Amino acid sequence: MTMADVLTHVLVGYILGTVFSFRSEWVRAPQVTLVMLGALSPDIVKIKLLLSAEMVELALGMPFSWRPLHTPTGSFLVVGLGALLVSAEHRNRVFVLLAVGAGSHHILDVLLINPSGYAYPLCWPLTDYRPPRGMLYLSSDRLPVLVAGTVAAIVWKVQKKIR
Amino acid sequence: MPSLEMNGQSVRLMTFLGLVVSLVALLLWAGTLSPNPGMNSFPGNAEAGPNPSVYLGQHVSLGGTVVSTQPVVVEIEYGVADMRQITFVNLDRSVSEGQQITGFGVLTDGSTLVIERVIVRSPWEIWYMYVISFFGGLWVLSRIVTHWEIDRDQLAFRPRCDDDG
Repeated sequence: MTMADVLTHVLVGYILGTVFSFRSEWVRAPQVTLVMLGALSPDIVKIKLLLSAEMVELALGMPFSWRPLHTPTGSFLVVGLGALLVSAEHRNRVFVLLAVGAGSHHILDVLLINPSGYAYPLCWPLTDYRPPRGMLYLSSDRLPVLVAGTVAAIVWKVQKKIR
Repeated sequence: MPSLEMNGQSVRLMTFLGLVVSLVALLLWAGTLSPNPGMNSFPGNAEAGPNPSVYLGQHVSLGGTVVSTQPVVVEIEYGVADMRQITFVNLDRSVSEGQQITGFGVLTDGSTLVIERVIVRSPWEIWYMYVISFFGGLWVLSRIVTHWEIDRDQLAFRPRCDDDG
């Protein structure tokens, strides 16, 4: 419900990946794509819009929640699974790139507004405590995507120039 | 034959399965957790929807569609297909029918929520978010297809062109 739109996350992933490519020879288009994929990854929790936790509970006959997918611990596991899908020689770098993207996602989402004023449990399962949110913007606001889009266009231009 | 020695691919498979099992365990565990206001975790539609009276005098966060405006009545969904109407009072802004509203406040009786903070969105804003999110996902998917390929020998993805700019 209260998450930045996927496009903003993906644009931020593109910006981060492209800026890394200015500094590191090994970061090229395939690697930038991984930062973008990582930045999108916590939003696989949106699977709940198609298959709600209640439906899964009915089918399984036991309690269930999609929420861990949108926590840093869930992201760690998802990013680990992603890194295992590539061949061994690329695995460590793929893990780092996906993790950077996923980290950017959590930072952006903690800045979002929601009614209670509290974020999701960032340190779960260590603690269920939810820290206060940044309360900067709404997920349906147009400003974040405009800002991210503008910065992405700038780094794209810079990248064209230096290569 | 080093039959007991695991090769790289079996370590990979075991690790993969280990991560999947951990993830599923977390999803099942999270399902058993109840809201805990002391941890800033408040009941939502799923918890308060079936029986709001349980949470009288407590903070809850409820969301749904505005079905009438004087007073503001919101239809909230919970469970697989259940619905309940809750009256939102003490709103600091006007709303119109059909808008999506999420309110945080105190339940004073089984059908009244005294609002402290709300988020109101028009249906087009929800659609806007879905549409641009869809394009965000499509962009990443097309880049994966363009820049990565499957190595059939290793059963793994690899960059299409390592020295590609």
